[in-house]
Amino acid sequence: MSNSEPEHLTTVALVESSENPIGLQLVDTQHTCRVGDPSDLVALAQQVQKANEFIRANASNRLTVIAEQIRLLQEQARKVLEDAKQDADLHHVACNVVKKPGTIYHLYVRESGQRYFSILSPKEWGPSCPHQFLGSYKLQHDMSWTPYDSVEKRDQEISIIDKVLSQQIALPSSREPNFQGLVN
Amino acid sequence: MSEKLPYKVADISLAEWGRKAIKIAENEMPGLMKMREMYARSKPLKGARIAGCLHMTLQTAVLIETLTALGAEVQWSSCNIFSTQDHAAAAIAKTGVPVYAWKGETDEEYVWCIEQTLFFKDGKPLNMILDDGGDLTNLVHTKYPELLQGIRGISEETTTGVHNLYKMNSKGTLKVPAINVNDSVTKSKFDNLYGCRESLIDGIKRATDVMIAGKVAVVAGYGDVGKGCAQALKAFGARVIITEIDPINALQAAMEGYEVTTMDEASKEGNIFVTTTGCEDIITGSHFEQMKDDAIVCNIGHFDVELDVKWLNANAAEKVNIKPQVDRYTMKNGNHIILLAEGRLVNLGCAMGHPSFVMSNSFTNQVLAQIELWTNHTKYPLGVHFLPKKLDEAVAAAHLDKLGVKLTKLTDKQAKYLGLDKDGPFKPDHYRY
Repeated sequence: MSNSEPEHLTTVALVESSENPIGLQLVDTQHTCRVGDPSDLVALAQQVQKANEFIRANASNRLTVIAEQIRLLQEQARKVLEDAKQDADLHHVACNVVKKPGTIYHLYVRESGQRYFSILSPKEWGPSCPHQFLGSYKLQHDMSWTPYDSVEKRDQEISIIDKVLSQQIALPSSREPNFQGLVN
Repeated sequence: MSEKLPYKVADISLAEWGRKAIKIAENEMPGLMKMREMYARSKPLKGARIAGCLHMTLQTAVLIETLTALGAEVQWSSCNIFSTQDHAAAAIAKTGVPVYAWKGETDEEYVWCIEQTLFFKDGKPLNMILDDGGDLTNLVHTKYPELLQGIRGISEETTTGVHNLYKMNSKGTLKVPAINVNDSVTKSKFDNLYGCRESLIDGIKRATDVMIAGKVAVVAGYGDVGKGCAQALKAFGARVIITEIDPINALQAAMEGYEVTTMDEASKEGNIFVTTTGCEDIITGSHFEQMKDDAIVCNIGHFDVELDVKWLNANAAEKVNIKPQVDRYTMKNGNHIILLAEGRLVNLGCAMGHPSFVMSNSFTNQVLAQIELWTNHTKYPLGVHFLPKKLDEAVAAAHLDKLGVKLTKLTDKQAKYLGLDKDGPFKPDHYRY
């Protein structure tokens, strides 16, 4: 089979013929092996062609899933990096108190442009609040920051995970794959 | 003032720990506990609404609870943005006393905290000030002058605040009678002499673990602080050299058996250098250059002006930070100098400052000054007053039982012979203890 053959042309490869199969000298190989009906070859070729397409489609389907996963993973990776950058940024904001996980801190910006964390909320400051308020964040126990409006959602997530962790012992011990929890 | 917070501290869950630590402090503050014993029933501070602005520490917690035991309503803020002990603040907040203080306030939050203490929960304003450093006094005088006429008195804890009071008084801007607690004998002696006598060694040992016995220690200045430092170093077995500018103090040092010489001479001999003068440029570049290898240099005098740290930073070949508050400089001649607390107060930077017992003396002065201003306010016209000698003596007396001291009483005959009241005051005002 020549390599220069364009890919879209399907060629049919027939089994090599032998003049002396299993030690028996054939009288006339031409006679024995001649393709009688030319459409037989076409049928063979068509079948190979079809198989090619199926495999290509199959592969393409599976690759699409992987591509989708890659895209999702990339998206997640980007979010992780962005979150990390924001968390690190917030940890480097000026702050005079030793921060304690589980506490909400309030971010302000001074006239000089310096941002700082305070334990006083704008409400606690009242009308005499001297600096522009930028937002409130809760410092989580993993040292990440949750914006104040997502605190409740995040707390729920954490409590669900806590529940899973505390109930882990109750998960069925099965060596075979099962779809428990996915169906019904 | 509609939505005033009941308190603001860093972490209220520290209250239990704070309470345990306050219990221990109480045992070391016999003067304050004596005040509770003497006045808890009569409640001389009933009706007083005291706004306090003083380091919110465990010792201050004992002061606050003494004031409330004597009938006062108290609200508190700290007089320094970093000095609050959060567990002490939490324990006090837990008892329902409005306290607004946490370690690491911003300057703006600091003022906010003081402002929270001006109006009490029923909307009534303060009528007494207990201050340390003068910020509360100044705030009321400048931003809330309408409150001044309702305030009976100010008691001021420290030198800075007292300076401020005298300045206001001479300018005519002081509007409330004040008592200078800082210059009571029982305050300044304990702060300067007995306090430093313990905390100097504590600071040097925590920073360097150096053996003091056998070393040559140079103490610059032989005032109360210098006397305490020299005595402590000598007691550890150091040979002490004093430098002085005042012939009286120099002679005192010589009479105690110390060598007295100049820093130019002493800098060649010393292994440990301590400045206590309150003056600037005591140890300068030329002195550092003459010092022995690994000389330890520290200051327990006035802020950070006594040692020329700037020269060291500019002229040393190398500076290595050993641990917080301890730096080792390599000089160009190859010798090393170990500088403690960057030339600032070594007993605060490298140790824990004053023990509770020392604070018991100054805080008992505060309590008596508050009672005096509240109950005898007609005795105190506008101006800055000392606590009467009799009360200074009462502060000391309040500490005697705890130490097992048995005081001798004058007989009527003896009192007559001396021309004194047998219950004191025992000394004229000019007496130097």
